[in-house]
Amino acid sequence: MIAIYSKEMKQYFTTATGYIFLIVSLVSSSLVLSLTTIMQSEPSSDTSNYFTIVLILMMVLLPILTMRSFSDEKRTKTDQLLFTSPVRIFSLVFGKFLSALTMFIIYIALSLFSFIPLFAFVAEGASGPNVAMIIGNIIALILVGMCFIAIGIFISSLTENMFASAVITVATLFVLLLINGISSLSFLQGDGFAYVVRTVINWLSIFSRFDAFAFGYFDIGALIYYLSVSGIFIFLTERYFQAKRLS
Amino acid sequence: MDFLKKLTNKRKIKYGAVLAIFLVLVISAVIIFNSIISVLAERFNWFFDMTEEQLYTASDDFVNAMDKINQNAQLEIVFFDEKDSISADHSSVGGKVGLAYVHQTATDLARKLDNISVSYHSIDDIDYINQFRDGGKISSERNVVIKRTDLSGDAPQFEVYNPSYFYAFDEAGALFAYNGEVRLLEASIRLSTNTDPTVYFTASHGETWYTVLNGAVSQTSLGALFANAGFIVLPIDLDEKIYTCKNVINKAGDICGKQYSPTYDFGILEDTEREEITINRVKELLVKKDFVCSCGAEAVTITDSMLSERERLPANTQAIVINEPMVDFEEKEIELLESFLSNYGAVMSFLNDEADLPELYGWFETWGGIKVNNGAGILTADKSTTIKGNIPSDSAAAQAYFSDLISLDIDPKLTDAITLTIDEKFIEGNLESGYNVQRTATELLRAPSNAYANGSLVSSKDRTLMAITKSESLLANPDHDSIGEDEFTSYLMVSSSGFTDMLTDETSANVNTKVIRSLIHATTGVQTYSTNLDFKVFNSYSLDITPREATTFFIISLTVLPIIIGVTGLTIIIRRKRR
Repeated sequence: MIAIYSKEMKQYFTTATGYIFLIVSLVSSSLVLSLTTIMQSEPSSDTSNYFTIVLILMMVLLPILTMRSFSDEKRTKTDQLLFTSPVRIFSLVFGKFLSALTMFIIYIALSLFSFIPLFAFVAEGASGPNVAMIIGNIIALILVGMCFIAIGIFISSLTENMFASAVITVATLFVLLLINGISSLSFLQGDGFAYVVRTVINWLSIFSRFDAFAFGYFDIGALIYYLSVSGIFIFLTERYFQAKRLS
Repeated sequence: MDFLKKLTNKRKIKYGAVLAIFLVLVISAVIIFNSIISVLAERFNWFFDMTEEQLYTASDDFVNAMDKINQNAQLEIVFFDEKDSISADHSSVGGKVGLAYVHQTATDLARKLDNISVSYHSIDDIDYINQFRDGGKISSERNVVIKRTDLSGDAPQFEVYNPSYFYAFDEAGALFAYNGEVRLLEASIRLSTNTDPTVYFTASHGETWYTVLNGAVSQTSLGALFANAGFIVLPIDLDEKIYTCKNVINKAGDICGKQYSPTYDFGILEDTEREEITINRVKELLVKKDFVCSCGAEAVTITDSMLSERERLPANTQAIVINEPMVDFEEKEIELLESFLSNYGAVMSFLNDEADLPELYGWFETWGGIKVNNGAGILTADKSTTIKGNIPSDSAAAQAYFSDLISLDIDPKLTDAITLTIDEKFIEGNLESGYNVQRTATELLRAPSNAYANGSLVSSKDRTLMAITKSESLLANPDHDSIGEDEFTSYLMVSSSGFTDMLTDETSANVNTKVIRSLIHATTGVQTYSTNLDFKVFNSYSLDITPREATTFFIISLTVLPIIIGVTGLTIIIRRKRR
């Protein structure tokens, strides 16, 4: 697994993919952070809106990382080589997942640079940014990012075209976002059956659980949920290739 | 493990229909596992409260106080929306506040105390809603009802609230703190007591009685403080000519030529000798009872001869508040106040340093020699116009007034100080009624020793910012050394109105509120709540950054790292290609 992880990491930094992801992500998140905090008419260090917008941004940017993980291998036929090598399929999938996650964490770490003015310009009498809440939101963002990466890798395993992989991943994540929106439709308001449907949708929704983190509520149930969703998609990818290898 | 490995390596498991079933089983197991975790997380409160103010956690002090008050009762906190909608309701736009924190406080409390529960009902459930018809109108799914059922079998008591009840706002109406714990406890205390103490705010001297914010009339923060502590808050014009109930009934009888029952015909208290009502109320009663029509008489004209001066304050008065009068009191008004205090109760005066009130100040001097010095111009050492005061730690008497005040994180603050000088000697005298009266003045709040006034340090005698006189009316018996039956204690407190100005200040609202609550408890005996409970002041996120600095940082954060990463990437890729 370490060999796969190293190979993937090396590939991110020897091709344009990793740099493009980091640059686009950093520019867009710095822009969002500045516009929602220091560039406001009444400058504020409240970052709750920032994390919610970054989550939406990641729906578009994380597929850049995952799009070529398997589709590129398929296109260049190196997947045959991988499947016949003495590497377990799980290690293969998990190594790719971990490398994409590492890139995402590197981006998160670099994006903290933009937080400096929020701590440096605290007004007299103001309490400044809520550090615990920022840390909680970052953990939540990494958890949601894990889900997105796992989904992206799974979709990448289904297609040879990496752009198709990226587009389908973005579309899938948007559908997941829309599912969350369905629960707020008027016909699903009220009690009884509508409540049951709404509860199920909210339970399944990746996004509805993120809201609580934004307001400082770190839910252990949500933590398990995000780990489970990531696990399921890694498992599905592994089963898919396992079946393919043996067929 | 070997068995599992063998099982998963079998070809049938690895692909085909069996694989599909295997996948479904694994995913189902994960979903079931998640469902169990979700249920357990909710039941056992598995979450981390990441807010600095612990907004999602019911504090131990709050839980203990609620436990004590509701020992022999069931308390139900009722919401009128679905649980998921309420717990996600964090709205705080345009003065509208959400119910998420209130819901979390309530559910956390219900988890910790068996006799407290949270329930959810539909706003469309008319049968259920109707039971709260008398407690206040439920008009929105954002209302909250607190219902207390005493185990003795008495009818349930309840109150209806809007979400804003659970929050604290500053003078400009901006939200600054979550106050749900204090509010739930206050509601609980109100519902647990059968009597409603009444506080009257004096009117007609330019006092601040209502405030108008964005066109809406609301109580002053001081009035709201009393109301939330369980008091009925009413204005009173001490100089107003009044009817007694007896006069009204007699008047009705004179005109109609028949007898009226005060209880049945006018819906007023049977104790007609004591009940006092205003002219407007008289008119209202006469019109309401179709008095003119049924008697065939001409419209009733209220003349001075039908009215009489107020001889005493309403019987239910527990305290009188004189809040920022600008016009002096008449002698007969002072007599009324003196007469009120000759029995029991408390008068609390908050004085504006711009008002000159010789009659009122003269009365204060007869009460423990409290002398008011207007326009003292006290400033603290940093020349701030906000004056910090502290409760004298060297005065046992002062400490006694604040005995239930466990902690003050910061000093109480006030603006526009008046200073007071007090004569701490006993003032003793004999009343005609056979009582001895003893009055003791005590300094309650003191400016710090580094306070300046007009360029020089304030002398120690001019540093008193709040004072109180305790008056004990003892039966003229030399053996008495404590208050017994038929003997009375009353209080007169004097302070700067600048103290109540700070009740809506983010940094001092909590501590100033605690001081007043403690005094209410000490002077009226009305226990409001454990003064150890705090407002949960929201993080203040204000930044002190100029547009130029903001633009500079904006450009730096947008360019520096991306350029470094881009240049590094280009170098590596070009080098690789050249190789």
